[in-house]
Amino acid sequence: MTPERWRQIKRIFQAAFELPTGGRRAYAQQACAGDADLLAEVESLLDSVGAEEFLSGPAAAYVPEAWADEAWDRNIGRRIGAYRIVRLIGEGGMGAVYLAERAGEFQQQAALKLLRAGMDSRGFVARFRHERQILASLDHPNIARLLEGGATDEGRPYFVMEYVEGEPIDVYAAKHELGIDQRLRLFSQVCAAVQYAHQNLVVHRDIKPGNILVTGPSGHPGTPKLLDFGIAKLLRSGGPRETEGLTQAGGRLMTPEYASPEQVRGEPIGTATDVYSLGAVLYQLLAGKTPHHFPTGSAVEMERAICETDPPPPSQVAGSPAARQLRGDLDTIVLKALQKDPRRRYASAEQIGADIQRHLDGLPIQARPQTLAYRAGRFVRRNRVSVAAAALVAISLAAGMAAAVWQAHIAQAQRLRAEKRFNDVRQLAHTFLFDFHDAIRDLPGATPARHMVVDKALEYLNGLSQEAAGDAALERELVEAYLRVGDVEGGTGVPNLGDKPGALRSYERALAIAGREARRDPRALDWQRYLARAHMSIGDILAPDNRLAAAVPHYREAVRIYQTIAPRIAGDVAAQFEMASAYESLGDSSGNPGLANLGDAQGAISAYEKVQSIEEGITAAHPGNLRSRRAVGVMDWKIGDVEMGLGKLDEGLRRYQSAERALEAGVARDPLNPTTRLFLALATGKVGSALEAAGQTQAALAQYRTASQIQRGLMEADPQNAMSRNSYALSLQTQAGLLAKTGGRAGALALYREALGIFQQLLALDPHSSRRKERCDEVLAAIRDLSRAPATAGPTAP
Amino acid sequence: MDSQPAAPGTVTALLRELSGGNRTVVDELTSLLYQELKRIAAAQLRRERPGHTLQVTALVHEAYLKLVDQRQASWRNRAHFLGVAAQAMRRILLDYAKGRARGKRGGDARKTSLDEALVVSSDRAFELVEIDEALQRLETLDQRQAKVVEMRFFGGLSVEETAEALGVSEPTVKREWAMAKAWLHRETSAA
Repeated sequence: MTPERWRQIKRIFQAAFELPTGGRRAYAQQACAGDADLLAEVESLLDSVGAEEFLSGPAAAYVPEAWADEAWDRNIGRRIGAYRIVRLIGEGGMGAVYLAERAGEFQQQAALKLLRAGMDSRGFVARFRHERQILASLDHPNIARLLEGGATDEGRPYFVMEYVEGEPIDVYAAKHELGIDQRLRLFSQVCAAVQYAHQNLVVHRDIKPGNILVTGPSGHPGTPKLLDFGIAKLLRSGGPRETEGLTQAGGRLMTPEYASPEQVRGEPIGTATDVYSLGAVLYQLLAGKTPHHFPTGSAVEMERAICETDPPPPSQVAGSPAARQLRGDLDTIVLKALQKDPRRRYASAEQIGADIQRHLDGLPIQARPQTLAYRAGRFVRRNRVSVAAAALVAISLAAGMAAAVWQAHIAQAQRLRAEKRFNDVRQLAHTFLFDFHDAIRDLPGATPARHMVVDKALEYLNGLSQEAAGDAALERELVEAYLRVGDVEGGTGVPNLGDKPGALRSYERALAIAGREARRDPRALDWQRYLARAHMSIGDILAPDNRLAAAVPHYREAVRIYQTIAPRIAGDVAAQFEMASAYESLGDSSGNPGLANLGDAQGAISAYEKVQSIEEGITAAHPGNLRSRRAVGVMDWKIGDVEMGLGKLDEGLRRYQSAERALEAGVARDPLNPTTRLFLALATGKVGSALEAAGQTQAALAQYRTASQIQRGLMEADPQNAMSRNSYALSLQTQAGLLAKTGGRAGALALYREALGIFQQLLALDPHSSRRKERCDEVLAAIRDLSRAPATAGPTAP
Repeated sequence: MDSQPAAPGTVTALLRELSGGNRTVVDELTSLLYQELKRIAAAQLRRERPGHTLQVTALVHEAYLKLVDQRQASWRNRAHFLGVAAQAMRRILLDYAKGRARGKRGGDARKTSLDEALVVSSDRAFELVEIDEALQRLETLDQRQAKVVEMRFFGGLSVEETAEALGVSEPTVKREWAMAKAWLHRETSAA
């Protein structure tokens, strides 16, 4: 941002800020005088004004313990119990940890944790005596031993543990770049240790990566060690009064990222609590993030997230390629351990370990996907009401209490059976479509198997749809599934089986269900969106097939739906993009000269302009959104294409130039984004082609050269990327073509040779690609022609 | 650890240099105050009951009384002192917060292993680092506005003291503060 710009923003913001809240926006709009970027900046600042609590306290309150370290150092050399303190390892809000040596003995190192004064030290010592037998008896290779504990002379509780030199499990896994299977093996050892402690009646209560250190020389599979077993309980029982001021969570000791709902609510804690925390650690190991986040860190936010929000499956959080490996079993295992209701979790730590082992061995796991169990539970609850209602009616008819209850019992049993069968089938269809299909998709020769998978899934789905009527949640799932089957069969822009008729049938089924539900509940937004998506998918199958008369009405219908729901999706960026893409498809099929079209140039232009206004809306609300900024430029060049097709060279050139400017601005905003730079190169080339068509050869050549330079930069930034090499070679070919026509024979030959070299390398990578073969042949032919043609001195007249 | 406190004369002399327009002493003064503030804070904490939260404002003022020879100091020296103290405070808090935040991200294994085990972790140290990073960006756009944040937020100075230290009016401080808060809030919540 330039200083000039900042001053502008500052002046308008501060003037607006002097006004009452209600008048600020109107003032900003008027003061920005149509400068949309400026207005967006000022408005986003005005939006940020309301946060009262932000920066309200002093900075020191963010790190209240920052001052303590000076004082902690004073304990070095001091003797506590049988140990002498050697050095400070670390300190935190609760106290400090030192490296200590057993006095009088050689190299008997231990970690001594000294808590702040003011803890309930008498209570601690009493509890410690009570529990020390149990804690000290935990003898397991993966558990750090507790050696001693008590209170110092001035009454501060301390305890001494085996000293473990290692790294937290998540850090270790990241540092050694462990694969998913290696992470799972490491983690199962943790499960075994926790199981051992549980059998000895000790619950950890604070399992988290920082408490699981992995030791061992690098290169060897490490050994995890659990620290601080049972300590949290010793400290906690003191009650909130004694720990006041030391924790933020009302005196309960826990780490919110790994704490279970029962911990947060202060309910009784048992082995299920550790199962939950194990689930949270596994989540982090697999997904790279904790299941819950607390941006503001407030107690209310934490409680709500932990007790009410279902975390997304790890596969949705992890980046590819891990996501595919996580989908299915591992998602299921993690989410089962993280169930809100302790009874729904794994019954023991051992069971998590066992399911992980089954997964590693390629055997089916015991846990069932959470959504199904959840749904089944909900179904039963729902039906309990109707069962009860039926019983009431029966009583009022004087049929006798016992009979009514008995009938209700029968009815419920039948429902449960039906529901179970139903869910089994549903799960099967889901497994076939999502897990199974994805797992085999990229295997060579998998096409027949993929067909079979899809056929089976369809069979189940069709069966289910008979029974689904009236269950909106299931209908939604069915529509998703049919859309998905369609994509697998023949979807546009995704790897597919090439079965267009099959895809069309599936999309039409999705359309039928969505249409029925939308009529039943016209106000439900999601049905409208499904309906629009189905129309779009059908249009996308028909349009490239030149069945425009059939495709265009579907696009029109999609556009019409978005028009009706537009006010309700105003703030929803994903829906805005969907709407824009409906208009764009309508524009393409109406009159894009590069595609099969209806020849309706005016229709195309107005559709593209509509896309621009939607994307501009997105950009105004989200100035950082590159995709919408780019789209505005891309629409300019599409409109330019239409104009050029109409022979309006000036108008076409103007549009292309506008596209170039928009994309240049995009690149200036985010110079490293390769997509924006690629689009800029293409737009620059478009300007060149319009200039060439207008006979302005030198200007056209300059454009082509600039485009090539951008492409070269992209290629050099990502040399492995075949696409960018191909694009660069194509840009050379374009430039050479014009140069050859205008007599720049030597220059043209050099460019053709460079392009040929790249095309040949690409052909060697993929020798069966007919398109790459054609490219090589084209350029070779051009080189031959040029070598044969007589040299001319200057540009020849066209 | 308990190094000798700096003689009041040193700080006073440096302050007078600064008030006389010699900006080169700022670094020396900052690192001197860095040590002194930590020392005074630790001493204060040792006297207090556990769990006591340190009052930054009180700390800075105690430091002023201790370190500056009152007979030789002018109101102008005091304003400069407060400004430099805020800067030192920012460095102290950030040095600590960065260590904590790095620990949380898993940088220093030893620090995270045992000491974190019993601490109810909070992301506030990390938040502070983010605020500081945003503040550094603000410095490139608007130095005065960034100074206001340093003094008010890090140094715990009042509007009046900030105005005095910067040599501007109180309404100006209030205006700058309001915009800086909005800007920093937007920058730190955009992620």
